[in-house]
Amino acid sequence: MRRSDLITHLSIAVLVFLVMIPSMRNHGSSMNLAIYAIGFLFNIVVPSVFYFFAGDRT
Amino acid sequence: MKAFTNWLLTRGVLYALTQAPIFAVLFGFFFKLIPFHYANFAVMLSFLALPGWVAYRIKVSTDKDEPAHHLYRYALYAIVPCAIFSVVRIPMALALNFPYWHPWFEFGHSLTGEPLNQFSSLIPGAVLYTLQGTSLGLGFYILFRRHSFINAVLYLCVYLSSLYCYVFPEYGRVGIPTPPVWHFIAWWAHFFMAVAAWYMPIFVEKHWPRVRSAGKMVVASVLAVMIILPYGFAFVRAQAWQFPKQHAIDLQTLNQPNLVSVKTPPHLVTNDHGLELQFDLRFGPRAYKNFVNKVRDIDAQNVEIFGRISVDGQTVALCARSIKEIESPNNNDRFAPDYLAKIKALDQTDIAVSCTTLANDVSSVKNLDHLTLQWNATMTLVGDREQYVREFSGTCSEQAGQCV
Repeated sequence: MRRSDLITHLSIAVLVFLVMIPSMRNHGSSMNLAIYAIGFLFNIVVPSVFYFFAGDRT
Repeated sequence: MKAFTNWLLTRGVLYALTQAPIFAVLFGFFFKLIPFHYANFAVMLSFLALPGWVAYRIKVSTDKDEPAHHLYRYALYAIVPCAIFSVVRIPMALALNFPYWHPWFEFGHSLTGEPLNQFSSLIPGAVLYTLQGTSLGLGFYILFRRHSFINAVLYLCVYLSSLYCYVFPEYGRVGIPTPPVWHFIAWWAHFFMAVAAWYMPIFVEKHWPRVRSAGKMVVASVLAVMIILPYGFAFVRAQAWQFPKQHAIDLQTLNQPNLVSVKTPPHLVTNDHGLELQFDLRFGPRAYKNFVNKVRDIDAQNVEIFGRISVDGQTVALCARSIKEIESPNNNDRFAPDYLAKIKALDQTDIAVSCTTLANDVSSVKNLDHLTLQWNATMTLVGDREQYVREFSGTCSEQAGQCV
């Protein structure tokens, strides 16, 4: 994974999360929020793992 | 800072311009921060600005990797993942009666004001869906330098599915059950969308040149069918399955007996005009479930109510009320967080009807127990897809102990 692509994944995950916070105050069943949280964590963890362990090769 | 500015010029602006349909649906349709038609006006402005920006970047850019150089190619690639997203949902549509085109009605209705669950809202909704789906695929090609499988799956499957599985149930499916199988279908479809987005550049650059001319016709035909299929299937299925199913629901719901009845017989009330005779009708139960199990209330328009109050056959008061539209949560509140509470609150709607006594003094109507009320009400009952004019009538006599 390229460094720029890693930054893109992390930026999207964080930026969208920040945009979503106000709406989550008023909305959100536990199941829907859990699914969103899984997606958010995956978009942080998986590209980071790929970058740190496989560098620019994947 | 320099790297960020460079990213903004090479990818950021292009991404923002091409993602206008996504911003429109998020902030206009789901979050309601701006009216949806204004949001779509911004889409038009973005698409007008896009060729100018691309031409400028092609002129000044020396980086051959910059997406502006490949936008035309990327746009063509992006059509396929958008189509695949719905193609893989067709088996579910058949097996589970899962109408994946249901949001198209909502998009079309919100933009044009055309009635829900009609072709007039389905067609513009399908156009909006196509713009959104293609934009998402295009966004992947623009954002990422390497169009690898892992990038495609993370962005188009994991990230989009998680967002989709939060936003749709919370903002777009209010009043509709969203079971785990719905979430599964969302992830399933986004996964294949990601696979298609990853494979398209490989197909065009590596596999397509190797296909012989006769084979190219076959492959092109398969691609064309795949792109048309989700729309053709949705339109045929709407006509053959959805509309008849909704017709049966509307017929049963709007023709149920005792939909309008007397809640309170004639009684004296004090209001701005002084002492008045009044009776109350009850309209309900109004709640029903439509073809996607969305809970809705029956709407009623052009309501005309008349009543005659008599004592021993002698008319003592005449009553009337006209209502253009009875309060309903179906339109402006259909995505509100308290939608279901409003449905419940309006399930039984009471309508007060004022009467004018023929004698000058209402107090001349002394013994309310001897009053007989004859009433009738005409209204246009509106279901999910259809509407009927219905007439209700009844007699109410406290002395005889019956009120219908």
